[in-house]
Amino acid sequence: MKTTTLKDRVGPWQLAFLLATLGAGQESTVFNTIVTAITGRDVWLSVIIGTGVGLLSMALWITLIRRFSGAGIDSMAKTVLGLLSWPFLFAIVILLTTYAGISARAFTSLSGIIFPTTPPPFFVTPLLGLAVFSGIIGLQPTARVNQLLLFYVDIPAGLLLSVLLTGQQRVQRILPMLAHGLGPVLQGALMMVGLFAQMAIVLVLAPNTTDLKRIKTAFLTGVAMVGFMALGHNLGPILQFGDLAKEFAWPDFAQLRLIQVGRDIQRLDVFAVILWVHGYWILLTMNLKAGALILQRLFHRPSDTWFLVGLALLAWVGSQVMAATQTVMLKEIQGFNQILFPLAGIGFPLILWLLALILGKSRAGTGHATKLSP
Amino acid sequence: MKARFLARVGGILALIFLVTGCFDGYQMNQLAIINALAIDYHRGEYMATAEAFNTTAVPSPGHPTGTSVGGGNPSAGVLLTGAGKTVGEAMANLSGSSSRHVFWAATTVVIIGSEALKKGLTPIAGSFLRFPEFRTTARVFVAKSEAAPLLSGKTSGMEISIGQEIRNQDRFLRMDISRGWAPRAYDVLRWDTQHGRSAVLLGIQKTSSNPTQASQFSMGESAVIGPNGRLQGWLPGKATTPYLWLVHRSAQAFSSLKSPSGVPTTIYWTHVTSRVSVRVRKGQVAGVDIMLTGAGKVAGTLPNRLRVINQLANKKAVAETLATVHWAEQHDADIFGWGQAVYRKNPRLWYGLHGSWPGLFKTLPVSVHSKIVIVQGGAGRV
Amino acid sequence: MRFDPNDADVLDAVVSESGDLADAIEEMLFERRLKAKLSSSLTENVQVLKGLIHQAADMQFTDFTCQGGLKGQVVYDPNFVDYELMAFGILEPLTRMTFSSSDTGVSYLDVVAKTVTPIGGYHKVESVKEVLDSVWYGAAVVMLEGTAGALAMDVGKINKRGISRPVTEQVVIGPHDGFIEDGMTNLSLIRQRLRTPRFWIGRVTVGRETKTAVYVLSLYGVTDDQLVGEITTRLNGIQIDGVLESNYLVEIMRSDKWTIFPTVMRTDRPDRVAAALLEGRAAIVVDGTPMAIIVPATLPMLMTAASDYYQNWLVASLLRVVRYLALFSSLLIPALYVALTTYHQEAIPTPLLLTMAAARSNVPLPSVGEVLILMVMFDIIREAGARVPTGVGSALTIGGTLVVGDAAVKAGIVSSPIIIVVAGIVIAIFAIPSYDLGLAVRFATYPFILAGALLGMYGILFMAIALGLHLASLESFGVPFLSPGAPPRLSEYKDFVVRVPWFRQKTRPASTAYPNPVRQGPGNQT
Repeated sequence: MKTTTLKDRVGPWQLAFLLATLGAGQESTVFNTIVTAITGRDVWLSVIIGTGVGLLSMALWITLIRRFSGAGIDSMAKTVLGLLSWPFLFAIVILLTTYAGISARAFTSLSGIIFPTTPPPFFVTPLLGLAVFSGIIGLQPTARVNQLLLFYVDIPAGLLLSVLLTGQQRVQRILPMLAHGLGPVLQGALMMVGLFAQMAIVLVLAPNTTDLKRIKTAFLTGVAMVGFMALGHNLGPILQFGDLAKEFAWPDFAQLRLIQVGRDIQRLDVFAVILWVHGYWILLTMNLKAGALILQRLFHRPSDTWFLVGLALLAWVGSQVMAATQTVMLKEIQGFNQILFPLAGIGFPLILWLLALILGKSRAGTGHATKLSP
Repeated sequence: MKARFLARVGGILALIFLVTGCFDGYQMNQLAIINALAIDYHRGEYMATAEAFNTTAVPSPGHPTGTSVGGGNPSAGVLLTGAGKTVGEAMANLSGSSSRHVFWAATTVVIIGSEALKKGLTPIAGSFLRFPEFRTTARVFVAKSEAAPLLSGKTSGMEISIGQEIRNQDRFLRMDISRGWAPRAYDVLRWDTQHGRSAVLLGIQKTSSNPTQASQFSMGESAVIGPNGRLQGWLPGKATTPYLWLVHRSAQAFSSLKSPSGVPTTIYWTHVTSRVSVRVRKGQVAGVDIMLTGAGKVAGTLPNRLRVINQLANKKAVAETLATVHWAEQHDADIFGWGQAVYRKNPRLWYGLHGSWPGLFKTLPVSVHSKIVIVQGGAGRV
Repeated sequence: MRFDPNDADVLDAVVSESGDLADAIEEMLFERRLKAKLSSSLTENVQVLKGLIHQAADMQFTDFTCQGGLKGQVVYDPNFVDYELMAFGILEPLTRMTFSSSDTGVSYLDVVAKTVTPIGGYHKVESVKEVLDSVWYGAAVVMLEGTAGALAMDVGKINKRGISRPVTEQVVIGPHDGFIEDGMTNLSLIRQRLRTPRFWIGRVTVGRETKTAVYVLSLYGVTDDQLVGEITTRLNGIQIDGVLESNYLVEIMRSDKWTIFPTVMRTDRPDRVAAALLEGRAAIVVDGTPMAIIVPATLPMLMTAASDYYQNWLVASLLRVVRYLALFSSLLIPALYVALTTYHQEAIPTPLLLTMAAARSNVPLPSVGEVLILMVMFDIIREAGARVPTGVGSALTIGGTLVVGDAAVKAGIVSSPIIIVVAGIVIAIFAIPSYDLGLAVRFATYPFILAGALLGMYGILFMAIALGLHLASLESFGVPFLSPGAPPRLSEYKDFVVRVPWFRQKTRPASTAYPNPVRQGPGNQT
């Protein structure tokens, strides 16, 4: 079954960096808001717990990929469950597409900060168009652009902004620890687990990965990067505002508005748009592409283009009809990440793995290219 | 096939771009760029007065020397006003009164009138901070009487607006004798959720009431706002320096003391900071220990007397600090955030004494020690 | 066109193509006469040739008689032959021959060939077409009475200008010779730099009518054989009537055709070609143009200048950083200006905002209008300046500077900060070393401006990502266009934005020279 073209194949590190962006874009926006609102100044504990669970889940997924020698979740499910797998796979596609829709909705909330009166479709449509474009043009170019933006724009800019913000940050603002007990911390951690569970997308993209030998280091590094960046994004507002961070609509953005270089260089917050657009573009691309790839493999089509377009249209409609207000949107995202993603991203693979262990099923390597031609 | 498809997608994208309207765009010359905002309270209504930059007064190729309606020197600022039941409404009405788009994002100075302050800080801070365009780094001042008159009147010349003048004066103070560094707008918001803490806002008033003279401002006393958002009193100028030692951990100020020879000597406090620890024993707040450290400088040639001056200066620092603490205790104003320190140390204890904190603060035993090192600043080094 | 008069289908096709039966028959007859073998009658041969080329007034027929009485004819193009060589090397020995008119037979040609051999060599020709081809490659074709066949003697001398400075890329320090229109001369310039048997030159003829010689250059053992094979295959696959410049080939043969970005490098500097060959790349030299093609080419490679390698590495690296700044600013600065001044004024420092607001207080256009007007105006000036005769150049300069620079501001049509922005990027584009890339960037700026005007920072970001995706999907003969940036090849970062000193450049770039990556070291001693 050779359905992936060269343009759709990415190296393990490229995929890891795609995962890092997938996480970074969300954690600096919706996750930061939600987790901070739940946990308050103990948010860093939630992040650390969540990252731990994320690393363990990644280990599970790597084990699965290795056991099935690079097969996608569709063929894993088919091997283990047979025809029973179809409803599960469809559920995953629907989950990914709906989440793409709600994320596009979240993006309009972000654009509404800077463009309050411009109607949301003007932002959703180009973003989804870009996601479809990058889905069609292939994962490889997407990964390349992602790497360029991540390493030459996002990370340097993030470090620079962090340095500019340290002057007003006070470490004592994270005290007292656990003032409200462990409850909120665990609830916030569950939210973070949802973020890491989204990275189960590697199970879908495994057949598009070129080198199975190196995935362990790469993927685990990707998860750790997300954890590290989440720590920065979540801790920053706490050190800046203390418990007040709970009350901001977008705490991470609120602290950017405090940057003051010299006397007159201020209000650099508009450059946060770079991370938002980058993060949400990758998020939408990955979700839609993964959904389209599953459908393509299920129906044995030569190309995933029309699936991609169809799912993007669904996501577009979703972004328009879901979540009338920002509060509802955040609640829905919370629901997705606290329940659905852990179920689909960790629960389902875990069941597959256990069943495969019990039934003794695996798949020998068949035609998995190990090296990209130069 | 692929190229055709890409062309199609590109076409759709291009179409989307073409149908986009410029909903939120404003050309720069359509903006009324606000520099300073004054908020007053009058007969049940908030009054917002804003000083916008007069861009036509700035020389440019279009009008090389700047123009004004009545001839003479053009004014650097233009005043806009609006009134409403809330601050937000007043600001909205102010926006409606201008033919240009009122642009808040360059606001650097906010002055709150004392009447408005009596109605509470939260409705003011909240309404402009939750307005995404507003600059959260704008400095907040308190007027001892009404705020709006501060923005009217002539500037001291030099083609700057009154807002810029106030901001410059505040900066000058901060750089030099540090009566205070006016808090930023977001600091104001931060205070109102913190644990029994009172906010200190720099007061400002005109030194000359003569309207024909150029405005000059003095910044001496600071307004102290309680946790309920009400004015608790005015922190005297003398008490500001120890307040800054204790809170901002760094301040630059002068104190004068009598030297052993009887000649008044000026100590220039350069890097004084403090370590404040709140003692909690057996589930009770036992007291507060303050240790002042840092350096001060004394000018002139006093090699033999330096040790004595050192002792005297430390005594003076302790005395000034105690006086400030005393003032705070008298006014029930926890301006140092000790309640917060208790909370950070032991949140359960804080929840227990939450209601009784003002009374407890009043009777809290405070001990102050000082280890400030006085060095001789050579001529020109002070 | 191959033509068989018995095949009705072909005749139909010819008729429908030409639209007219008479034309079709004429074409058919022309082809037939061209393919015809030379006959043994000298007069007939001359007649056929003259009939065929009645428009070609440049062809010359000279008769001679051998001492023995045998008549002959020399056909040549006086523009392509060396007269001295003709007179003393061919005509004189021929007239001394003792052949008589009764001695006929093909074997005379062999005798002539052995006796009269010019330096350039000779070959036998048998058809009319071959005669003509040889003549236009600079041969004198000798035909003898009673012999069905002829000898093409190479006495060619092509009109060419001397080697001059390269036009597209000049250096202060470094070689000053540039390619010219003659392919052979160009090859000699490269051979001067690569005197090794590993330097291989393959030849392909492209162009039905122009018969342009195209040379494929490679360094044996360093260049990937597959690359050379691929180039030759693609060149052989080209069926075009004529190739007048290397761009004809580039547009047909490159794999990603729908892009304004150059995925090959074109240069008129022999030193750059030699350097590229040493890096395992291949080069294509096209007869008739001074622009050689280097493949594969990447964006970072197009951002290098020859002088980078000829001056101090630190200086060169700094200049490269400046060049990248120029690249990004020429793409983004006008768009950022429009976006910031229209949507995100809060990010502009207040004093600057005041000055800019004051500067445009009487300007009727929105800032995107100002930028577009000025950009188009500058583009027109630049386009006019590129082909204006030197005599009227000053008028253009005066018009450009006065009207655009000063009067537009005074008239209140545009504001003065815009002049700085646009003039700045106009200059910045010239800092891009590759002329082809500069042209591409010049046009890529406009979509960014529109995007910035419509959606502010979001628009710019959307456009940047779309452009990035496009660039990242390009490939030049198997090498990703953005490599070594994306995908990252850390081993090639030594010659990316920073050029490390020569003593640290121990290896050649791995993406092209993988057959033999040793740059410094014993290597292969041939």
